Amino acid sequence: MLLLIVAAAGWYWFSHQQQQRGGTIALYFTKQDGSSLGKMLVSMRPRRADESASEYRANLARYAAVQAVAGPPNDVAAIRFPPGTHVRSLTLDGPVANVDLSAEVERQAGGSFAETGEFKALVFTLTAIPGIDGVQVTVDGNRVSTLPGGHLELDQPLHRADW
Amino acid sequence: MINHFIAQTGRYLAAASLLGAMLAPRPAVADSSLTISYGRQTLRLTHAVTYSGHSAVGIADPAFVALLRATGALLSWKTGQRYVLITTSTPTIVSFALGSPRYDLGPTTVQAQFAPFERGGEPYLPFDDVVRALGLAAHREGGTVVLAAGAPNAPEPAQASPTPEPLPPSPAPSGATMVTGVDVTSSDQGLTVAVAISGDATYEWHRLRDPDNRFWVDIKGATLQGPPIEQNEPAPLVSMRVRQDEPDVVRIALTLEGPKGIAVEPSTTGLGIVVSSQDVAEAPRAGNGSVGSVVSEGQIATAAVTPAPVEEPAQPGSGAEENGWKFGPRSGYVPTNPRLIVLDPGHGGSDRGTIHGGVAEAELTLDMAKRLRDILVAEGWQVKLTRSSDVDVYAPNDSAHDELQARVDVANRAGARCFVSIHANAFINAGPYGTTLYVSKPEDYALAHSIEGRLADDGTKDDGIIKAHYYVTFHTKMPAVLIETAFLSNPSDYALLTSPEWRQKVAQEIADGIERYARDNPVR
Ligand SMILES: [Zn+2]
Repeated sequence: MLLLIVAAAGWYWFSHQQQQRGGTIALYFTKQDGSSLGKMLVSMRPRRADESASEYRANLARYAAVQAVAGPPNDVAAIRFPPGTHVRSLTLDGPVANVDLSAEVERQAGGSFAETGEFKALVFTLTAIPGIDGVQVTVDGNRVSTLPGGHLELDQPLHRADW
Repeated sequence: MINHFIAQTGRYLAAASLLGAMLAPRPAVADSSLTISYGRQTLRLTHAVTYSGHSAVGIADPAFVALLRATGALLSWKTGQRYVLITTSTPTIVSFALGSPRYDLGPTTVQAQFAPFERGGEPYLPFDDVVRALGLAAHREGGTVVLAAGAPNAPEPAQASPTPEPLPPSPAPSGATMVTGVDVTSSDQGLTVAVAISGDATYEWHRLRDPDNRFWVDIKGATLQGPPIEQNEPAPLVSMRVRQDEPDVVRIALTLEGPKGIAVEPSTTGLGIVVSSQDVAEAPRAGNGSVGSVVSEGQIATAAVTPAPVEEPAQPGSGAEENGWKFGPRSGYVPTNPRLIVLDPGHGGSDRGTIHGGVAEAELTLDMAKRLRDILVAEGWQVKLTRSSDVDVYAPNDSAHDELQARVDVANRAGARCFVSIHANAFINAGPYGTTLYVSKPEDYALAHSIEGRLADDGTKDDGIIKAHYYVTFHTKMPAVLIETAFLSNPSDYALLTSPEWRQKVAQEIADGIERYARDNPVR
């Protein structure tokens, strides 16, 4: 019996050896000119044995959103979300990624400059994932028209074509 | 068929053995208490347990949450999710998976003390691993774990860490690993250096800062098969050198033509180094990872590549010129009131807009809009302001939607010729300055261009016309533009914005631009 288990474990290990490597996520960030984009490639782990394709895609998207909200390494000059902003959840609804951001996102310094750059980076990062073409933002679970005192419309999905 | 049968049987046996492993008695979870100190705070973890001799902490533990906040880290998890993501202050993403004994620390996969587990609906993480990932050094003083900033967040060898727990074995390469060949092939994007590696190895790469454009990657735990290589290479490379640098380290050194983008990625045959023909401005200077079964056994492989910036030819940052539909079909909008212009002083009432040095955007925008109104009226235009005093347009303390829709409604109901929203910009540092015009619809460009042509010499920089999905420009039916006149957060722009003469000059230039637009785009 022990031998069988060892053999099975060996088979299991071997059969998963050839597993494909994960893809890369394109992390976009908006440069401090307010509109041009930088891009970094971040590789993503491959799909795990116990993860369905759709789960993997959702996990990939969530990882990408967390990356985009965190931004590139600190020594790279970029427009960044207000400190403390984080991704509360991400769900996929067809081609739209629903991203729920924490309320810290509302602590904008004012002006449309940063606001526009922040969401541009998030939208370009998520829509770089095949099958995602829109990003619906909510704040602390709520749909909002814009951020308080904001400019960018958030009550419908954002697309690359919006920039 | 027989093979299929064997495979199926294997699958069942594998499942059975996994089930067996899951049903096997797990190390006992025992409640414990853990007192930590960080900076001047002493915190008592109340969701702390001992698990197989290590400390585990629940992510909802108030003291743990306070520790994360104090270090500038953020945690993302919701019920039902398997992955607990922590963003450190650097920022590095740390990804723990429930049930998995390895976690991803940015680009590398690391062995955890134990697999995170769920207890009472709350994920419990290996405390020492979290502490290391946060870049904290830990030592025990009596019953307290003293945490201090400053440790590199890469897992350290045992002697560097005074924590009493033995460190987990790192995924050490096993067997004889060979670098069996290095191939350089060119593609549209540049060159790919394919390093063929048999067996398991870890690697670490570095690059120097422009103008010294050298890059090298050390394949650790590997032997070079065959003689060293030293040869010239086509652009974007200059040359390549491959040699046994130390008894168990093979070094591949590249000299680049310039600050080219580089991506290092494990492949099924070893390691791929993609050198872009494009220069990059901010390139990461080091990274590491592993190749072979260390990463491909599937259980928890990895985010094994350090971010490498690449050029983005497809998305040059928008702007009127690059945008395809600048010359697209014009809207069929016909103003019912072709002599009426609606001006929208941004913000107002409960919404002050951005505030710097005691100056609120809401006041400046109203002042500029009134000056602009007076000029336009003197020129024979009818002008409607969405607000003519410091109030909310829809209702006091209204929602953003009602407020902005009310402004849009003023223009749409009146059938105005065009809509001009006036704002002042801001950023978190004093760097950005200049005038930016934002548009949302194809028909907005002509108006924006006419105004930009006049504003270009307003005394600050012309930051151009940028497309964005702004509420007021998107929902107005007529040509519309949102003008960010200057940055309150920049000292020289601030001096302009707070000068009545400058605001008068800007108002005059916007009026000239509107005149110009109306002349060039007569109503049919
Ligand atoms: Zn504004």
